Amino acid sequence: MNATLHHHRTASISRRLLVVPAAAVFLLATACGGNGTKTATTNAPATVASTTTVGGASATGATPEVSTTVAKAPTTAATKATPVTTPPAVVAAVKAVDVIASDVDKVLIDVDKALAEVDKALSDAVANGD
Amino acid sequence: MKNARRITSLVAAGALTLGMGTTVLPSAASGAPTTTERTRDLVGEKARCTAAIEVRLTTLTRLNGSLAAAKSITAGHKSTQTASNTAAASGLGALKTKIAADTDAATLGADCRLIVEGYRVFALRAPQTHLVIAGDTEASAVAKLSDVVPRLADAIDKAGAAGKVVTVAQAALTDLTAKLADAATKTNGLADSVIGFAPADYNADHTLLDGARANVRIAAADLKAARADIKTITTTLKD
Repeated sequence: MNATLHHHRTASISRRLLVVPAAAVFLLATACGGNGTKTATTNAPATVASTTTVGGASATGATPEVSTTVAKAPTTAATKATPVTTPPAVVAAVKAVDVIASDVDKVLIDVDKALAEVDKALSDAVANGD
Repeated sequence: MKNARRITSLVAAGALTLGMGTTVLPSAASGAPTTTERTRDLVGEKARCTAAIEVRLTTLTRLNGSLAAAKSITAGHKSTQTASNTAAASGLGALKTKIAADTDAATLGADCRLIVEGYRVFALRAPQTHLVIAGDTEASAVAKLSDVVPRLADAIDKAGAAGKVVTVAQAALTDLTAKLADAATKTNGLADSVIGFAPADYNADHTLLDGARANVRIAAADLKAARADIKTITTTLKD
């Protein structure tokens, strides 16, 4: 019984020991910039490129390898402004106003005619010795 | 001889008043017109005066036709101006009969001058009639457009609340309100200010219609600008 228990504890500790170094290695590699993957920024303008340093500056001073990635153009759906629909009340008001304005157009024609008649009357007055 | 000269000068004065120019030719021998010449001049002068009356009667009939056809004139103004024109036509008709019966140049000359100075059909009645029509028509347009303003203001508010850009519409509404206010000022009482003028008023002051005429013009320009503002607003809101 005790032997069995001891075996289980040993196995559990061993698995932990295996996991911890793996995590440490990953964190170390990330800290050094090694093999980190960078996701291109979505919705960034197509003309702007994101720069990713691959491999990072090594302890030996080697020049880091640089790669350029063109970001994806923003999707149409993301940039298109939401259209503003004219409220029905506004449409109805505009229609009603158009009807009145059309009537006013005729009235303004009458005004022009009356003004022309005033001018004609005054020239007639001169012609007829008034 | 003295009377003959007087008749000649009076007939000439009457013709001059009418702007028709006439010449009484003197007799070749004595330098004074003969009885035949005087008779012929009276007949000719009567014909000229009668023609002057006829053209005025035709004009007065046409003026009353314009009043009858005017859609926006008030009933009171239509009635008053029509009555003035009808009274003028009646007076000229009576004068025409009197002129036909005139036997001396002095009376004929006075009657012929009365055609112009007593009625002022062209200088007063015609422009007066059309100013009354124009003033009332403009006042009608101001009322119609003023009725539109609150509707447009409400529509602009609603469109703005819905997210539309209403800056242009709002500016046009402000201009529309100002133009209508000015047009209302210019047309308010315009018809009443001219409808009471009589020929004697015109004889005393030939410029008495100038103010009303200027106001009608300004109001017409205001109304056209207001109409353009409405178009701007409705177009903006429709977009």
